[in-house]
Amino acid sequence: MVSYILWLSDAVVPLFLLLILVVAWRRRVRVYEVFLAGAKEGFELGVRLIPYLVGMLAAIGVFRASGLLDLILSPLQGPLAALGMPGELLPLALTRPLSGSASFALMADALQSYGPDSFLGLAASTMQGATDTTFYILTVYFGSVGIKRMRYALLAGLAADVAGIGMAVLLARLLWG
Amino acid sequence: MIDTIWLCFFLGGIIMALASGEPQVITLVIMEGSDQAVRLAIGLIGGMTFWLGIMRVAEEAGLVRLMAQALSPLFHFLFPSIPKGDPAEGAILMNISANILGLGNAATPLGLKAMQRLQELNPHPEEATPAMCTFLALNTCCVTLVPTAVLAARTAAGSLQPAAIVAPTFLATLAATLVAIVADRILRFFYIRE
Repeated sequence: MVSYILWLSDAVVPLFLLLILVVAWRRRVRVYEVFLAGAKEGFELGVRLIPYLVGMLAAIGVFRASGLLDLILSPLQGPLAALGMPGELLPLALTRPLSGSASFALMADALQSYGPDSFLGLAASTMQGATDTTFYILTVYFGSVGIKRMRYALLAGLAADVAGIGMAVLLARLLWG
Repeated sequence: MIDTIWLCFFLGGIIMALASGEPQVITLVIMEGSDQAVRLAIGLIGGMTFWLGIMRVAEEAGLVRLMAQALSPLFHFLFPSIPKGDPAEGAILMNISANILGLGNAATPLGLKAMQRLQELNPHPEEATPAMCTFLALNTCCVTLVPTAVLAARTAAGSLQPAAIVAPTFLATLAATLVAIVADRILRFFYIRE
């Protein structure tokens, strides 16, 4: 099971790429031209990310280097360990539903600090991909049509976040723990 | 919300560093963090450029429509209140398909279009309908085949196996989606009785 999941990880991207290119070829899409048109946005996207990343990486750096992160986490260490959640990743888990760019920066910070192929780096990457920014989506979508009472949508979204992040930690432990 | 967190990181960190007699740490860490952030963003550009190009090809090849067709049998189970053939059906299916394929840019306009149509079907315009709640619950945790931005960040950080997280990410998003569907059903039942 574990080795199958790992094989699948290596194969999904090439297979997905193959599927896209074969369908595009059968439908006579002018692949290279279309590719270039889309790829042009890549540079802009990277540059647009800079202020978000600088803001968050500086903030998390201050928060951690001052020792405040450890101070807050130490009483939580016991209950978190019982749940299997690594304390280092708690800020990421809590930020994920609030802001995609902030949690992305926290993940990037984990990749830098612990190494992308360490348990913490792999777990952080999986957590970041495991769910979407619930608060942002609800605000934008409901805001666009003027809904004021969102009823149980937030609860359902947060339940999904907890499940996604919990599952990410569980799978990370299973595969790399 | 994110404002408060950001502020707390700085205020708490600075006060803590002053109290522990090491204020110089703050300056150092801010410069280091900022520098790291720019290097990271630059490192991301290669991977993101490639994926955005490929995703445009996927869009142009009609993959979103193919995916929407594959998902359509599920539609009336998920959205029993939307009549068959309603314009909302197409917009919702296309939005979910674009999300699964990782086409965030294409997904948002489709999703907003779906919300507009759902609002037209809404008898109480200030209150969310069950169909809206289901739709947004699905949107907050969409099944992800290829987490392109995470892949790019892992590569930029020098990972030897950037793709190792693809299958676990897929499984985690699948679990989140199932929980969203179940939670939506249970909560809908309670809210009707309120």
